[in-house]
Amino acid sequence: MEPKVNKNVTILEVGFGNLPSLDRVLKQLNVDTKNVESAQDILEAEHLMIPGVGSFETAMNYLNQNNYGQTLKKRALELKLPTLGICLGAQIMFDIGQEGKIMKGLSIFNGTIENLTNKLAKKKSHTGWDKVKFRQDFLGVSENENIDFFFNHDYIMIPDNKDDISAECDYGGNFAVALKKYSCYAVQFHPEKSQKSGLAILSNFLGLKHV
Amino acid sequence: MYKRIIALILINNGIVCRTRNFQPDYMYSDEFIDGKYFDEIICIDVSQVRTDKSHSLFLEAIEKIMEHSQLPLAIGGGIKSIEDIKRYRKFGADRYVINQTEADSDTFVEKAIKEFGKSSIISSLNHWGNLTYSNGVNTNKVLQQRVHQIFNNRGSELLLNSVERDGTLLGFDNANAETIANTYDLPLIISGGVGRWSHIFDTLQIENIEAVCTSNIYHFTTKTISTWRSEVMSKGGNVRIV
Repeated sequence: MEPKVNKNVTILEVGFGNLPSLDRVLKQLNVDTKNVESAQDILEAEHLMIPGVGSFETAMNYLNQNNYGQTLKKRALELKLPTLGICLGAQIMFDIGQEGKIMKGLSIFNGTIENLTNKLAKKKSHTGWDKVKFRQDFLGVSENENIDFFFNHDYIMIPDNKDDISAECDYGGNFAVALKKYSCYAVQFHPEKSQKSGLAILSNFLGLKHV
Repeated sequence: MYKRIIALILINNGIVCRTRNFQPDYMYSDEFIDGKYFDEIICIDVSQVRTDKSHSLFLEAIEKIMEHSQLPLAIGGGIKSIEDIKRYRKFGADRYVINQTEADSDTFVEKAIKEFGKSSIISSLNHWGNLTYSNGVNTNKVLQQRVHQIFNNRGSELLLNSVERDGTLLGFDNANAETIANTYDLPLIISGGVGRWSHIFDTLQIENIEAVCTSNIYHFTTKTISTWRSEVMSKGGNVRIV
């Protein structure tokens, strides 16, 4: 078992999420959760997690309607507060998404979100457990480690700046699955569905101190 | 990507059960489930009549199964409306299993995919040999034709349930699974009939078969799945180390 952390985490769900599923695992870690109800919650949260599944378009419409987009950018780029985006919650941190209609994202990371069938030599969803190769230290994982995580997605993150990439996966070609910039972490895999390797990532994120 | 061994857990009015040819056979204690050695968990509510009471018993059983688990969870059983999916989402599901054996499910599946995304949906077809199986009898419809019909209107994976093999321990219906796997480029999950580790190994060797389900055998001993996984791996099967 991972060491238990006594923490609060604020959650901003985008799209049609699997929030109850994430909640269950955070409870196992003895973490209390609070849902974002206002832009102020986004600015004040010590640790913010953005889970989500569904389409980029739906997620961005939701953020824009509530004026959360600019607040998230401020949190990440100016205040540099710990923020973890999971799956769709990671993808919305990019410049442009192409799921649904072409849509602007938050531009915390520069790059695009594209259907994997356009970029990789595969014609099927990336669903299941796959090996992740870490290129940089990332939330407790060391450079050069290979660790298995659970994935379920059709779209992938294509960053402009290769230095942002902390880890890659090979599914008919390499693609980015973990990125960091300031205190902003983006993961394509589901740490909350990845047994002990996922718990380690979540615990490390919750242990981050703001400096 | 690794191939998966999935626990397919059938729950009848809140009680984990075993079936043979889809008929409830024995009841089991969920204490026996060797959860952590699987790659994914699928819970299906097989209650004959679904009521508020049966839903809450189903949820209690799921909570117990998932108490110490951080595995992906798919939930199914009687999903016919968007509200059914939303209910199972509250139960903590990551994906939803929708039975597409009958054509009257097609309009709903299209709607569900539009609302929740293709990758949230697992389509399932029940079959007996090369014919589909519905409402307790095998139909005169050919399984492959039904796969053809739903190919462009389905979830990201297709679960093939062999009712004929269910609970028999004779092995998966590889002949029919392979026909589908060779004809269509879609990820398959195969269920029904596993009795020993070599059944898992053999079926996972087939291209396009991404996962197999065990729904009965792991109840027999708490060590079954960890031992089987080691056997499959030692023979070169592409499964992850747990």
